[in-house]
Amino acid sequence: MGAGAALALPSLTMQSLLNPAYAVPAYNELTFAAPAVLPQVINVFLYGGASELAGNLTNIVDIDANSQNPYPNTLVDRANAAPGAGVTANGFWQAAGGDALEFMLTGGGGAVNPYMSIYRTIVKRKNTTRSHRDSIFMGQKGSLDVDNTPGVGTRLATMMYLNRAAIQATTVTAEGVAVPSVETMLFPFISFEGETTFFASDPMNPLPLRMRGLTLDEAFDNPYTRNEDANGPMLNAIVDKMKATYQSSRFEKAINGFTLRDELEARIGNLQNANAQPLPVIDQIPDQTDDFDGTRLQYPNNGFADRIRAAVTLAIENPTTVFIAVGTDGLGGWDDHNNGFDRYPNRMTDLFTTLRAASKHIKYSGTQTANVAATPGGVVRTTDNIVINVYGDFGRLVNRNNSNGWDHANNMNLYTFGGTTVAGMNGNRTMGKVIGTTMRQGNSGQNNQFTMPTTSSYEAEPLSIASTTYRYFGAQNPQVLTQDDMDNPNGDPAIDESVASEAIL
Amino acid sequence: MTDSEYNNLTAEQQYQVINKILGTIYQGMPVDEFFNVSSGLSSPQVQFTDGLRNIRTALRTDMDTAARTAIDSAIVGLDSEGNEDPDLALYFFDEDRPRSLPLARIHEYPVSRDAFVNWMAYFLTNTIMFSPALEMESTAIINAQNTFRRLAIGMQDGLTVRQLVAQQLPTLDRWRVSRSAQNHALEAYELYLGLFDTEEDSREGGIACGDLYLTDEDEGYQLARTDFPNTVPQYILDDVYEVTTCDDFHAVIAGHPLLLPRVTEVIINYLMDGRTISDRLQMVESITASGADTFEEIFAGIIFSREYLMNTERPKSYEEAMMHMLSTLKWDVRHNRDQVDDAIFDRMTSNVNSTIYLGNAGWDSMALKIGRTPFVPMDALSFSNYHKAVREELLREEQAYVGNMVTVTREDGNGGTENVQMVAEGLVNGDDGQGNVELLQHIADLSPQEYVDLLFLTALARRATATEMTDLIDFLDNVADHLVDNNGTLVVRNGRHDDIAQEVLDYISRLPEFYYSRAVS
Repeated sequence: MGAGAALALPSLTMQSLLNPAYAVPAYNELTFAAPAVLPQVINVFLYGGASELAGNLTNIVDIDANSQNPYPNTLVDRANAAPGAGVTANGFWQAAGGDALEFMLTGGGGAVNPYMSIYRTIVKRKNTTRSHRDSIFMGQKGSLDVDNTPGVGTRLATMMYLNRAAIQATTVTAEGVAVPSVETMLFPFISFEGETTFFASDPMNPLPLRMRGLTLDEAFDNPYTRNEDANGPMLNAIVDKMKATYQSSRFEKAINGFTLRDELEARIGNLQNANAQPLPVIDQIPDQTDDFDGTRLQYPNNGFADRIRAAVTLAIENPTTVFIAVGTDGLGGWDDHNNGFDRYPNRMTDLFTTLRAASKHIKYSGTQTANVAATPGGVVRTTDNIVINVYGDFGRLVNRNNSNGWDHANNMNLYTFGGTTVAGMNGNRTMGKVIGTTMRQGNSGQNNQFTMPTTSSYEAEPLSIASTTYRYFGAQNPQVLTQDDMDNPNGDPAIDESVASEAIL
Repeated sequence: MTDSEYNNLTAEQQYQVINKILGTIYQGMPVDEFFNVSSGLSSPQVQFTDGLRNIRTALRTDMDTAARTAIDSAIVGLDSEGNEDPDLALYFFDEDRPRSLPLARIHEYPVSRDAFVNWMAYFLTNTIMFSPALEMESTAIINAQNTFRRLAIGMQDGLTVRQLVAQQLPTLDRWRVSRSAQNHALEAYELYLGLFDTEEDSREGGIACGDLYLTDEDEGYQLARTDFPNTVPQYILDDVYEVTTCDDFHAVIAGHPLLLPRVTEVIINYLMDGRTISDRLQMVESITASGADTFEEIFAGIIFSREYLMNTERPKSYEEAMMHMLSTLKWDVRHNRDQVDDAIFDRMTSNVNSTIYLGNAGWDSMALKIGRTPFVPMDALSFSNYHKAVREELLREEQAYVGNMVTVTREDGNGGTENVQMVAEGLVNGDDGQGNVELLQHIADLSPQEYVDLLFLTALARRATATEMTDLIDFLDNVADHLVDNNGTLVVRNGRHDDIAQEVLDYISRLPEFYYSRAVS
């Protein structure tokens, strides 16, 4: 055994003290043009790093031929697969939500507008760490510098705050009313996953309290109400005197917690009421095949579905909610090192059937759909400004390891839904596209096989997902918000909406 | 902090120091055990000298085995034949007992090495290093129990950090979290060395550990072997170390020079949240330079440091706030009221429907693969649950800590005495749950101002400010009508001490500082 390595603490070094000097987002380099309609983004993060295979079995024959352990024959031998157990026309794993993906990609054979596009080549090349910690931070901070840097939601909020005059002058909500001053918007940045890195703060650019991330749960449960008697206001008055004596920033987190508690106590009831209303009527035949109780939309019965339903309800009932972070609690994590063939397909099915219901929920709540007058909560609005993005830490190897799972790797899918009136880079968002082609790489029979983009394929870094979100809200050169002088001097551009789809079968 | 530095502090600062240490380990010292309250609280005498040294010594001293066995038996209700009888048990447990039993022991044990060891093991099983990850499909409560017991027994026996990590790495408990050979290697680098960019090293470590794998759910998530161990040497961590088997790999991790700094860093990130990276780095360097190689030395080095006690201010964890108050209020499980009853620790750790469930505040117990965040979640939802639980179920819920009514006497202002009904609050409760009559007598003699100070010291380890005292006395007298003029002297109305406690503790629950472990300086 060799000598010991030099003593250094990579995660906490003097070098990291210098990071703030490099990592401050370059808001001053940003070119901004306020959007016409305020977009709304629901960001579903697949913690653990989901395998791409549910959405991409295009290389499965080659993968199987080189895997340490074989794949089910139903995936490899398409021609002889049992119904529902094989691979869909566009390369989705049927038993892993593939039928739902196929429906959302094609619109049920073209009978309704498609709900989804898929990007199969979101690949980490600039930083190839396979660590959960660093990869989650990169994805949720939109930066390769993961220490001392703000989250994607915080960067978005800061961009909007710094450009609030342009937004107020130009942008309307989906209700068609002018956006109020952004610092007074109701529930603009919400987490349904507790305290999250998406809203990691930026000490260099403090935000008004309302523009920082706020947490809710899927039932809009109300711990905010205080069991109070008539003496409460008198005690509060003494507390206010005391708080005035605190030195600046002392006990700040608790002070902010109390402030937001007060605000939510007053407002949570409206959301509870909206969430209790019946779901929309589904009146188009292709959409009545699934997620349908005979009249109305019906979500699957799982905890994640409850959470997505709440997130969609919040978005449609409150047009000034602009960014919602949602984890997949209720489904389990996606870190499928083992037992993948038992767990992963069912979990993916739950995920995509829920997202199919969410897509219909959005569609049938907006006035762009015939016969829809208003949301269940009485808001008259269009809903084609609502985007759902689904991605995770990273991708996984495609080798089936000895524990029947897949270890970490660097190519993953981005599943993106709705928002067809939202402007991206080089055009509006378009659904019904498959972007990116892959090939298998790695030595046969070893546990390091993975997919990578083919030489002619479009590809994007994971940070481009953050840039794309900034682009929706008006950043014309959003890469400046992902750049840092040390690790990523040029940043990463937004996803190019003009890239043509692979042929849809 | 040195003993002389401590002894030079004011009495109130000394009380803050003692309770900061004890609060950190989920315990607390009631006011009357620190101060002699027999002659009031205006200028009380400290009951003992060298308080810091006493606490330090206590945390290094093992309990008498018989005493510990008696407490352990009472907690779970062992009958004369050593069988568990729930009817005899002080606490209620369900199948999740491995999560809640440590808290019951920490609360019931006196300040001792045994309490410290239980706290350290509980702390560590909530970090990324030793979390049993109960949220995962592949883990079960037995993995939490095994991991906790391995840590607690090992620390009690004086094992070093390296020995404990070497013990943990090859266990089924660890494999049920890591689950594949390559990920086993990757997580070992991350958890114990703080290395996060190990793509090639993880692949090579995975080859060394490739003989081992975790079976599927149908086969019970057991650790199995392929029977084809690796025979080709792998070179990891800048090719400095040669490993062929998983045992080789584990030995490298447990013996690596980064291990102790990394372990210290993880702990410091929790305890010194809010301090700058530079400050935390200095503390890491200070602890590692001291030669600390046990968890006991690392934790004690931090908790007894001047930097921690005098200059570190961070949000208190839920357990710190709740259990510290249980101790300073002299809460007794035998009161058995509402949420704060014999199932209190079961509710906190595993009852998702309880108001006091830790998970509602984003602070799940032993249930997060990457451990609790190194900062207490203070987002609106988590904080509102935290505040609601502590306020409504303990501070404002007088039923949580009251006992029987007791009659004592006090001066009536005319040279005679009068009988006063006192609730045997936990604050003044005796071991039998019937009230400490001597202490009740002292409290009956306190002026309203002194009683308010007693409550402030109990909850905040400080007295009320002049403004608070003026406003609260005005409120208690003129609004709540809990005070009465007794021949020119304002006194507490007969039977109102518990009402005043409820009002003043309600006020304190609204103070942001209550949720902070404060810098004594």
